[in-house]
This record gives sequence, structure tokens and C-alpha cells, in this order.
Amino acid sequence: MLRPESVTAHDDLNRVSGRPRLAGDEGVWFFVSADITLFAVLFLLFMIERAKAVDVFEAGRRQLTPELGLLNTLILLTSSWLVALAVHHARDGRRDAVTRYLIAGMAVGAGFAVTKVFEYWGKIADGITLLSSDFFSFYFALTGLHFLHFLVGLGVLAVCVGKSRRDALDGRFVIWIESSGCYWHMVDLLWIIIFPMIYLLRAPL
Amino acid sequence: MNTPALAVTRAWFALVALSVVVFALIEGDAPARVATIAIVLIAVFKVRLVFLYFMELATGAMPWRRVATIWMAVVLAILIGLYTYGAGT
Repeated sequence: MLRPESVTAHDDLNRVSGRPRLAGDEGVWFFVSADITLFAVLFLLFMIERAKAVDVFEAGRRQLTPELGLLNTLILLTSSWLVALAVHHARDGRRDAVTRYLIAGMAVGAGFAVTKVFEYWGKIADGITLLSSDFFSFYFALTGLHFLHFLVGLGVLAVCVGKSRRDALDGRFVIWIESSGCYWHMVDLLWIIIFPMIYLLRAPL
Repeated sequence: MNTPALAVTRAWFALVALSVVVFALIEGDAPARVATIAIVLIAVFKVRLVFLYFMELATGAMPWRRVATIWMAVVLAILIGLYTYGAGT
């Protein structure tokens, strides 16, 4: 006998109830931990080089537009929120809502790419490249690496949209969308650190 | 809206509000050191909200919650420590 999708999802997830349940696959959490550790090392390198050449890094920072960084923060936060709501709807077996929220999350998130390309384009047009200074080497390397993570995240969400349309919304699908959501939230939280570190660390006068 | 989804939405409101506060600190007249340290503290607090409510570590899933706490402490120490060191040289 066919059961409603919501019952199927809850039944599968309840098998691991009784103790705090991790959202997503444990392997994805290992990956997320390794990835954020790598970024922590990059933050350390950036801050060490900044401490050695505060004037150079301050001059570079002043050439950035913090409004664009703030806009990207709001874009990623809102996209993350929509994807988190899609996860909750997946647990309730609401297929239409899952697809709708995932697409909305991707559409809002895509704004990050528009802003970033606009920003890179402006810098290159001003003759600023990876080789302009130590600050801009870090700027392009760190934001570029983060941008690659962002693009992978968009791809993962696109796969989730496809699965939400054709797969059963069972426990397996919930683990899948939770894992994808965790990756997407990681992209968000890395930006929450990268933005102030690169754009906002003001040197005392 | 059910309770977990409401918690996510509240977290999103808090994250957006804190982002606006950060912008006020950039534009404001606060001394650079004070403003910068406040901005870093707010950023790490925002990361905590993402870990707890978007990535759902608020339910207490160990050891991942501990990993997140250690990561935030290390990043906070790197940013504040080396910012302060750089500002003093």
C-alpha cells in the first residue's frame, strides 16, 4: 500500500531518533570540516601577511567597495534561509514547496555571481590584477576560491531541484537535501568571515 | 510555519539585522580598533547562528557542534590577535 511521502520521510528519520540527529550525511560533515579548516589556514596566512604590511593591505582595502560585499552577504544569507526552509518542507513531504524554495534559493544566490563578476570586472578595468599587490593576490585568490565553492553549490542545488521533482521524498531524499543544504550554508558562513576580513579590517590612523 | 522553520526565519532576521549593524559600524565615527573588533565579534556570532540554525547543530549533534565551536574560537583568535598585533606595529 502506498503511504503519503511525508509519513515515509518521517518513518525513515525516526529510526535514528532518541538522540540528537545530525542534519545531513556524516561524510559531508567531514568534508565541510576539512574545507573550513583549509579556509582557516588561508585566513591565518592573510592575517600574518597583513600584520607585516598593514599599509599595503589598508591601501588595497580602500580600493574595494564594501557596499558590494554587504550586498553579497545579504544575498547569501537570504539564499541560505530559503534552502533551509526547503529542507524543512522536504521533511514534511511537501514536494511543490521543496522545489519552489530550492529554485528561489538558487535564483537569489545567483545574484552573488552577478555582483562578483561586476566587481572583478571593475577591478580588472582599473588595471588591478592578482599581481598588483600582496593584498590583491589574497583578494583574488580567497574570493576566487570561495566563488568556485559557490559555483559547485549552485550545481548541487540544481541536482536537488531535479531530484525533488522525480524522486520519492523519503528519508534518503531528506538526507540528500540536508547534506546539500549544509554545503550551501558553508559557502554562506565562509563569506561571513571573508567579507569583514578583506573589506572591513580598518587600520588605526 | 512550524517551530523549526520559525527558528530558521528568526535566525535569518537576526543575521540580516546584524549585517546592517556592521554597515553602521563601517560608516560610523567609532575608532578603527573598536569598530573593527566589534565587526569581527559580530561576524563570528553570525557564523554561530548559521551553524546552529541553518546547519541545525542547535540540536546538539556531537562531535560536530564541538568542531564548529573550536573552528569559531580559532578564527576569532586569528582575526583579533593578528589585527591587534598589526595595529601595534
